[in-house]
Amino acid sequence: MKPRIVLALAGVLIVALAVTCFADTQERVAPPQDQDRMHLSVVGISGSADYQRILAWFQNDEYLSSLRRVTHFHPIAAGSAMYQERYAPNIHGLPTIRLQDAKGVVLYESYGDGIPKTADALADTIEPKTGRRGLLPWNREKDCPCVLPWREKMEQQCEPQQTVVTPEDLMMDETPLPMPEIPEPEDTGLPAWLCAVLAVVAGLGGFGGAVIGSIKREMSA
Amino acid sequence: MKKELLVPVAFVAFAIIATALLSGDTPGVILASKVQSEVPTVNIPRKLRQDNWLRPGTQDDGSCCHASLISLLRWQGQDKLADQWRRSHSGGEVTVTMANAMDRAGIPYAWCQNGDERFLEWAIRTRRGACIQYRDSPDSKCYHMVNVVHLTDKWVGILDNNDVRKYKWMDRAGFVRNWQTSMGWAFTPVFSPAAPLPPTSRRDRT
Repeated sequence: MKPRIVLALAGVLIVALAVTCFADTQERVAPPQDQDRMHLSVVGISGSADYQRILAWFQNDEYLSSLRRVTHFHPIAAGSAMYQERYAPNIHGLPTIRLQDAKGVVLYESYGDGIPKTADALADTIEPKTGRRGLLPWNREKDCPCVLPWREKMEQQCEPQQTVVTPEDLMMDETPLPMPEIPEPEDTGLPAWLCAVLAVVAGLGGFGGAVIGSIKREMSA
Repeated sequence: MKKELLVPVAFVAFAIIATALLSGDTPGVILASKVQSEVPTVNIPRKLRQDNWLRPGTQDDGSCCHASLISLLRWQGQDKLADQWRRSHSGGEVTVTMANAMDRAGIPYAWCQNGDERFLEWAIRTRRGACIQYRDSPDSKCYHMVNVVHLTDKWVGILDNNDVRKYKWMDRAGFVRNWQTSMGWAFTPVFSPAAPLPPTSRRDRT
């Protein structure tokens, strides 16, 4: 074989090997920006009927399965290393359903007999906690007519909002999902210390007013 | 002061104080300001941390890439996949062979080969952790793969598969420099990271 042909074949072989080695790989993904995604844990004894039934709810129920897809879903078997170290110290019974925000704050939790008896009941209980009432299009609240004219005008000037979320949208991990409206810690009104100070001030004010009033009355008398 | 004035004043004061005290005790209320992050962020349970092991029949061919990957797979709830990987892989790897192996196993992963610090920040921000290659010392020519489990402005938390009993803490700047001069290779399997621990400050829920 002529040396030129050998060289050409060797070149082709090297190029083919390089392409094979450095070709973009199939499973590589763009880093998902899902740091705010909620966590949904279902903890139970792996063989128990209750645990299996609850897991099936999150597969079959429309709302619960959509919730599973938009959260980090953790089926945790009691006895596993993950259970022993990260769940056993802080759960109160089995099975447990726990929904947490990305920082770990528990938005919903039920366990044992406290778990709703049906998937529908569980969905109804969880839904308000997730702030995802509009997750399914037919659950969205109907538009209400604006009462205040200035508000109606303001809304007309706003960009129209996306109103349809398809299951495909929810299943695409690469697409940033609409941020869940995680409920803020309940507004407890004024801080306790401020209320206590106000109470004392009010009490003293009332007492002082009463004293001044009585002094005035005595002086005028 | 007339006695009939004392009663309503005392009643109002009592009501205000009672409201103030009770308003903080609503069941289920969590004080968000007290939520503290876990340290390290990727706090892999001891039993899920994978020790390095030698390729069978060899004396010095360790499996640090595989051990690092297995620890993160377990942290991300992929126990079966991790066990399967432990049985089927061993020995040293380079970037191409590791990527091909993960492709064959169908593991989705994010990848960095240019020493971009933002990759590590992402890996910790999403609580997934990262497998990264570095050198035990700046003069060493021997590369080693470990897990990055925590990242702050000053510190990096490392889980070294040569001693998984404890985390190592290293100066961030020096560590990143070491990593960047060690080919800047890092990757992370992309499954769901373990759920965060509930805040210790939470009150009993009803």
